[in-house]
Amino acid sequence: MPTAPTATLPAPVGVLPVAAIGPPAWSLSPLPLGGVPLDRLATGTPARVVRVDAPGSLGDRLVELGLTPGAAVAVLRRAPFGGPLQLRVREFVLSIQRHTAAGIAVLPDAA
Amino acid sequence: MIEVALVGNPNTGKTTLFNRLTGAHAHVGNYPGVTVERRHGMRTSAQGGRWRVHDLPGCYSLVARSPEEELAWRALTGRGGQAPPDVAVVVLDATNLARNLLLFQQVVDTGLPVVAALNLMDVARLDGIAIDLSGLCAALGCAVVPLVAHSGEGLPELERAVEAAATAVAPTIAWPPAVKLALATARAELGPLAEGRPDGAVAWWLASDPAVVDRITPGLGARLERALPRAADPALDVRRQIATARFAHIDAIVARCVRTRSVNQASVSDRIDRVVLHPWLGMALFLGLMTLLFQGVFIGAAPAMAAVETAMAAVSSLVRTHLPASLARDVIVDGVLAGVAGTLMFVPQIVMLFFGVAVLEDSGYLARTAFLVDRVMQRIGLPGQAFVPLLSAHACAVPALLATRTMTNARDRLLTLLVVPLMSCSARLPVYTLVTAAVFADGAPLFGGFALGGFVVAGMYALGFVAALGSAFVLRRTVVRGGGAPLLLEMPPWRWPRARNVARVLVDRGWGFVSQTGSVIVALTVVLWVLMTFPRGGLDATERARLTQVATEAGPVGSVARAAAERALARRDAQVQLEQSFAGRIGKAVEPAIAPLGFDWRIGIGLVGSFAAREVLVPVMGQVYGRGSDADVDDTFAASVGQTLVQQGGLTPLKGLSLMVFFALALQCMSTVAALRRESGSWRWPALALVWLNGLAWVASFAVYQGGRLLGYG
Repeated sequence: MPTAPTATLPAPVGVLPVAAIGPPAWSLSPLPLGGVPLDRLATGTPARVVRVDAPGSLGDRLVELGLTPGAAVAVLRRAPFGGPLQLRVREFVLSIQRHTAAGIAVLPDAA
Repeated sequence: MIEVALVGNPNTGKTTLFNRLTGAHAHVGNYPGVTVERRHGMRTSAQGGRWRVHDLPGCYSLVARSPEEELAWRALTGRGGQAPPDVAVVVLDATNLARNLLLFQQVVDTGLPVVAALNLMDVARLDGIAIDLSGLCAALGCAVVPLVAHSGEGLPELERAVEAAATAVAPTIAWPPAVKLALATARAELGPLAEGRPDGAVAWWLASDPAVVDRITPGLGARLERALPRAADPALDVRRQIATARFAHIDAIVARCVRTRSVNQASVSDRIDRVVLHPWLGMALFLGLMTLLFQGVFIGAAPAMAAVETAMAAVSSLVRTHLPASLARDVIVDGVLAGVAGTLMFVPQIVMLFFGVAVLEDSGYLARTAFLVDRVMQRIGLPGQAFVPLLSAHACAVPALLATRTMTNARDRLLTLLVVPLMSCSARLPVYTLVTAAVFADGAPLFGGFALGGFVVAGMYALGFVAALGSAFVLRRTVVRGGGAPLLLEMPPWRWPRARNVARVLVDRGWGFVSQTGSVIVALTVVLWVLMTFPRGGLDATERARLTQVATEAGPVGSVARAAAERALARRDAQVQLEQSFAGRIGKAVEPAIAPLGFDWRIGIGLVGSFAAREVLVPVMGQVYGRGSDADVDDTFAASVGQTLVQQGGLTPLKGLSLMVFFALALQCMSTVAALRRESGSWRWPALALVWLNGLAWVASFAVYQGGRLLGYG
């Protein structure tokens, strides 16, 4: 395991300002705001992802599965009693819970 | 020796390809996450090259967050204690290139020589997907081999490509400004580790779970995390911008190289889902299928079981008549042959159960059940991810415990580990069958020709499931707090179950049961026979003289009354001998603990034995009650064991029910305890499971028996 080099690195003093001027707020966002939460998208309506707001690694995973801004998405069906949604994302079928879907903003395609 | 690693998204046919390449018999399933351990096998290519092929767990990304992603990462970068592979074969699903190419890019960034294996080409052709192979080859910068892994189409081309593989050109991705900044920061932080590595590889470190990075290079993950805190707006987080930029690159490639003839057609898969996942029709179908499965197992296997039983009875009476009466004959008939019969008897049922589960799994149905039940599971405190391990535990708990490795949250996984042993595994089936045949077989068939026994057995399976959910509910709120990972489940398309896959499962599991479980059962049966036979003893002299006197006075030699009296003497003698044997003393010792459940010391012997392997109960009960009965009638085999239990052991339906409930809930299997220790990493959890599950079994059995008695059932 190559541990030695990292042990000799200086403390990351010069790095913190970089993080501070990283994208700090949504006002700098290249992503449009708005759209509807995916859990409220009507079943069968084709839509595009606007942004994934779900926090943490769950959101990261959704993006890695292809729910990137602009990706095609549709709700195929909803499980009963507030159960999960079945989605078509790009070319595959994915199942996620409703509250997860609430963290994904989509824009229905213009008919 | 060429070290070849197979990497790919879940459910892309990676394991099928592995089996094809190595001739191995790895388990293939139509749901994500079948491969949970690193496996390897050998191949000699047509060109004469010796390959060692490694099957890595399926993952969507090399960004390490779950155990199987970490394993794939370590294997590919040579941090798993082994050198990195010489060639990485990335198995891509041709019907779903866009998503699959994310992992491909990450593998290219490791700097390994790469071959892209475009699998499921047959499905892609059916779906009307046309792929420009030379265009794709140019865009990916490596060899692209179209493949149909299950038929072997494309394997010769794959062999040549692997032996000629070279490092692919890392893709030039247009990173957004925030990512460029983050990459520069990370390079400063990584120092020499990042030198000479493409941006993509650095991005991969950046996006990984700091705790995992720390395990690989101590201290680094935390520093990366400090240097690059999460953005205030999660949608703008650098980790997501990295994936988004990669997908932009991938989408451009797919747009150039893939043509789909029909756009947005309601596919066959979706039409099936319309029925199977229908809000109430789907639930009804689920319950119906489960009923059919257990009735099918119960009724369908009956003729085969009867045939095995007749055959084994014939063999043992042959041995009995041809060998002189001796201890050696007894150990062969009552020990070895009873153990063999106790194993073979249940092969038909186990094979039928596995057949049903294999068909459901290969078709894609099992993955869908998680969608149907997720809501209920969440309410209880188990994640939907736990459902497939729980279902597969109906075959055996040990592979199910392994299958929990795909779960992302450690607390969720622990909770699942603790309740998996409650699922009625195939080792309980013989016990259910024995008791059901003895006390629930009478009476006319219920409506539709269903057998009462089938429902009793199905009820035991339901009891195990309900107990697992109930335990999860309690444990989640007491010992295992936290967790609750959200559902994120890919649904595989519906497929016709492949005869080859199903047959492989049947042969492997059926043979596995006979060879592994069977040898344990035979050995234990012999050990218990010894414990039941020694020390030698029997009636004391006065009692023996008294009973002999009774027999002599019963009538002349050869008369019916004389014979009956002599049998009574022999039976009495054998029972006293059993009582005085080691096993009898053990049974007597545990009797006070189990008497409130309706069990006497003789069932106690079986219970003690079944803590080593549950299936042992059947042959042992045969020996316990068969002793001293008519030698020409073989009482060591299951159906007759049941009758003997009723006639001589006084087994009533209530006691039978109590016994089944005990077996349904108790944790008696030492392999499961060992697997729990291994998977949870400490003795604490198996100890908790032993106390919890066996306590639960005792309390439930007590409630059944004493409750039943209060209600007036004997």
